[in-house]
Amino acid sequence: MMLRLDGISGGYHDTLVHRGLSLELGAGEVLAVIGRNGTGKTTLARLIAGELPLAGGSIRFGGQDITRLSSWDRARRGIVSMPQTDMVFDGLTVAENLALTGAKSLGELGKRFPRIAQRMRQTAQTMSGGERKILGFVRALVSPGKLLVLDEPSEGVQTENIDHMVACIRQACADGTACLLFEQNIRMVEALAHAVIGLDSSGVCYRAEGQEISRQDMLATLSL
Amino acid sequence: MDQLLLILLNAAWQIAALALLALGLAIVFGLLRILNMAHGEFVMLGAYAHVIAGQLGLPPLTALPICILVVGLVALLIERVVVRHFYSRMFDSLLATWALSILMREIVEMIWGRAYRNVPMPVEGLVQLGGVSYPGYRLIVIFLVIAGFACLWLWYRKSLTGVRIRAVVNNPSLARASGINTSRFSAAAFVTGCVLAGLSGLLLAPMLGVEPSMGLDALIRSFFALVVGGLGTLEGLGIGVAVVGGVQAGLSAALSQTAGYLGVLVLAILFLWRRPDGLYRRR
Repeated sequence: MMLRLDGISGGYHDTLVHRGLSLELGAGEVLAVIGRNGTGKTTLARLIAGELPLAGGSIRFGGQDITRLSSWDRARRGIVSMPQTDMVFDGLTVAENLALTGAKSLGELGKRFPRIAQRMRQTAQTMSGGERKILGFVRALVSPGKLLVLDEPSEGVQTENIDHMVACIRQACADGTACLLFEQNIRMVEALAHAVIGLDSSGVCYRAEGQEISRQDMLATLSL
Repeated sequence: MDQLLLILLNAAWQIAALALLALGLAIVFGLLRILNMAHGEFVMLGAYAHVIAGQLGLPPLTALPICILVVGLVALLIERVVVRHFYSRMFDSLLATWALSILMREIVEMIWGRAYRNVPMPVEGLVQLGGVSYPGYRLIVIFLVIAGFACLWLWYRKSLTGVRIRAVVNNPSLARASGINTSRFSAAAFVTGCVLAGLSGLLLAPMLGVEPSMGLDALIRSFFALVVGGLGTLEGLGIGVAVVGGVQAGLSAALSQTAGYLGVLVLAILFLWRRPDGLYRRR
């Protein structure tokens, strides 16, 4: 298993958002975590990235216990996260944002998102919300890593570019990268997920794999 | 004509000395959002490197490595033990570093006493420029400051390390997610700022003299420069030291030393009151 959460608990200060949550994710797989706003998707992403401390349970990554590692040590071991907000360095140019990942060129991503490649000298904060999402996404995908933790990458992005994102994630998975996708966009989840976990205010309310994944059940998780 | 050249040289000297003094404070504030009230005490500690070298019977030039070593170690100790608990707590950090400044002053007084000491000029002699003869050491310091700031600015704007520093300031959480150890970064930023403060004390000691309470003046003048220029950017620092140093030198030449200090004080009050962001606003 690439990533394994064993009964993890955590949240903010004394409020636990997750209690005893477990999940597994193998190389080349996409696990989608769906749920409405406020059900703890971002909290879970931050617990995995190491931005929030765990209150209990353990996290294994690539066969090693990383429960006590700092976020930068997790990043160096190959966990690449794209946060939901502030997913780019606003004060830096596009080129500087990308240079920090250590990537030499954009490759395929440059062709799929030509506007990023054309705006290398522009400061990120002068871009639109959707463009900043795309820049954050490109940053994550060119970063060398084994696990992508993407927190609502499609939010505010045009359909056409969401399709490009899907294609890029597929390509990354074909190369052996695992992807934990936090989303509310059902189309994107359907196109990518090998397994789905649904969250509601009380915790995990839905789990499905492969053929069992049904649009109806996912919509039920997202409605109410 | 010669009179004008002398005034300009004096202004350049005031500005260079102020830039040197304020750089460490600007770095610590710009990168860590901490107003280091002990900044002046690091200036003072750096100046005492002359005294240490003298007491050990070492040649004057060894004051430089002694300064870097002593100030660096003290700063590292203080960052790891005290300051790191106060990041993103502006007011608390102000009180904590203020307490540290008193502590440092008292300890230095315990070791070396309260006496004021003179430090000889490392470079003696006057340089003839047109009809004016000007102290060679001051010209060297002016040149060092100009060259140093140019290099620093280029490095900050163009190098990958510069990009990483700006990334940490801009979005610490994403910087961590990109594999940057922000805890070590903070320690390095604090130590760098303090060592630069120490180096300014070392370089300016021949003019300022050395005594335990010399830090207060250094802190206040650096703070005024940052208030006028804008806290937290190199550009703001440059503008601030130019305006404050220029006003002080101009008024001193036209009226008196006291008028120079008074002018700076009025300027700082006006800025704090009417324009607390300073002249240069962060983009």
